[in-house]
Amino acid sequence: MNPRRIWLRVSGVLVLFGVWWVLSQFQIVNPLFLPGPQVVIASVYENANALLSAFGISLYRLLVGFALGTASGIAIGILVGWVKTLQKTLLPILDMLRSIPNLAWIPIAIVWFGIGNYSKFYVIALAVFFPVMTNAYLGVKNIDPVIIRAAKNFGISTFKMLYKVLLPSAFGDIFIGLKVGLQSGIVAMIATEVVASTAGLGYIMDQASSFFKSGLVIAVMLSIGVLGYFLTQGMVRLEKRYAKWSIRSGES
Amino acid sequence: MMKERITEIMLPVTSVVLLLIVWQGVVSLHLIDPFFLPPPSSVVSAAIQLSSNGELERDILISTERALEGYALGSTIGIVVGLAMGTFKTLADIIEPIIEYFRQIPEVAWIPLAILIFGLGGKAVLFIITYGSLWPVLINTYDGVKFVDPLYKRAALSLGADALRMFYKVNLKAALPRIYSGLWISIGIAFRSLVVAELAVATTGVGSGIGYMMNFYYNQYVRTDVLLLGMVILALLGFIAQRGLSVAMKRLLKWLPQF
Repeated sequence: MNPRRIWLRVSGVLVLFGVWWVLSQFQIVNPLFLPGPQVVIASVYENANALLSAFGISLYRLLVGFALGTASGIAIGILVGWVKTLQKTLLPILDMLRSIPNLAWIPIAIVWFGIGNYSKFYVIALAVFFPVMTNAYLGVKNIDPVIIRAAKNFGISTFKMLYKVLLPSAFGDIFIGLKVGLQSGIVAMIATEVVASTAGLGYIMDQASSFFKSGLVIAVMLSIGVLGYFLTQGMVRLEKRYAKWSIRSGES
Repeated sequence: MMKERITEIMLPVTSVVLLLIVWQGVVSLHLIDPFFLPPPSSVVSAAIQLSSNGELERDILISTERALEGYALGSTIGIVVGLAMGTFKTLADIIEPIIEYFRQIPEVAWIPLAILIFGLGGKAVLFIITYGSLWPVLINTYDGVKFVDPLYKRAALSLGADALRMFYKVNLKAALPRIYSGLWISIGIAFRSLVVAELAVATTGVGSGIGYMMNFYYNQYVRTDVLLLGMVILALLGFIAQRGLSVAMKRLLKWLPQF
């Protein structure tokens, strides 16, 4: 990146902050809705402890939901991709369920699992499950049949077939599913907390909003952006790190 | 041959029908409490009951309107900004970091602020949907223009294309497949943000949208069948919208090899 581009990028962010400051300082936008950057920073400072514990709660929910959704998504996706009968019987049912928007499950999830962590786990896991499952399925379905036949000719066991052939070959696709799943998991995390919750980032925003503490609302919103950015970057790093594990047809 | 075709279609249909029968069966036999999992028959009768006074139709209409309005608005902004960024490098350099950051904030995280700014009601819902459907279209449009095959550009230049033609005939057309995939992703997002926005932004009055309907009937009468009805309707609406989009796009993009 040349200096000119860096300068342009920095100036864009500075201009944004400048406009924000001017809009609030001269009360062009009602400061009740858009408090200045200094108010937002102050509210982070004031509520540091509550914010930190909310971060912990939300992240915990995201991680459990993500783990559940990923494990079941990879397992069922590979199974459906590998077993032809399941492809014709189970897949249509999964397709039907997938067409329900993830977040439309929130109310019934609350009926089933209550307002606490379990309904959040469920909705986040669903939001992660479908993209992971779909991509794992496609990954297995699109494996070069030559590889599978070769493996069978060597008399490979089912377990080895899974571990040495199916998983590595579908790795690239599964990772695409993980990345999409993480994104929709983060959305589900916030959505479940905003709709009904007693703790977490979404809950803090919801509370702050009903007390007209817009500084805190914006502070939490902006920190969700930071969280999302780092989680996504972490995923990209992981993918690069483990990419060598995957096999692509045509490579030796 | 024919027989194979029939099993090809019948097997998936059978499994879905079987699922519905089992679902109805276990609930009718009270193996599962019908409160927790209302059977298909109660979902159907809830639909009949709610549409007897036209309430359900109004809910569907207003929700569809919001979803499509927000989607249209978000996609338009996305395409315009994406094209502008792809065409003017300096502009792209200035706003790229801002865009990279703001698209990380999920649309549902804007709900509390949207309520503060727009108050409870349709405007806040519309804002959330617009914000959500904006990003996939913007990013895909920008990428589409950015990665236009330089060969096309050089060919157009040597044939004497001016800036306007270059933009319209080369950049825009070459980016269309990517714009399409952005539009495709966004239509799903429009419906997912619709339901959360309507659930969270409790508007008043009968016929205020599907999310409102689910919220109202559950909170007032503990009707879980209406919750399932809402899910079914949202699934159908999303499905129809995606089908409509793909039919429209196939017509528009007939000349592309991959369609």
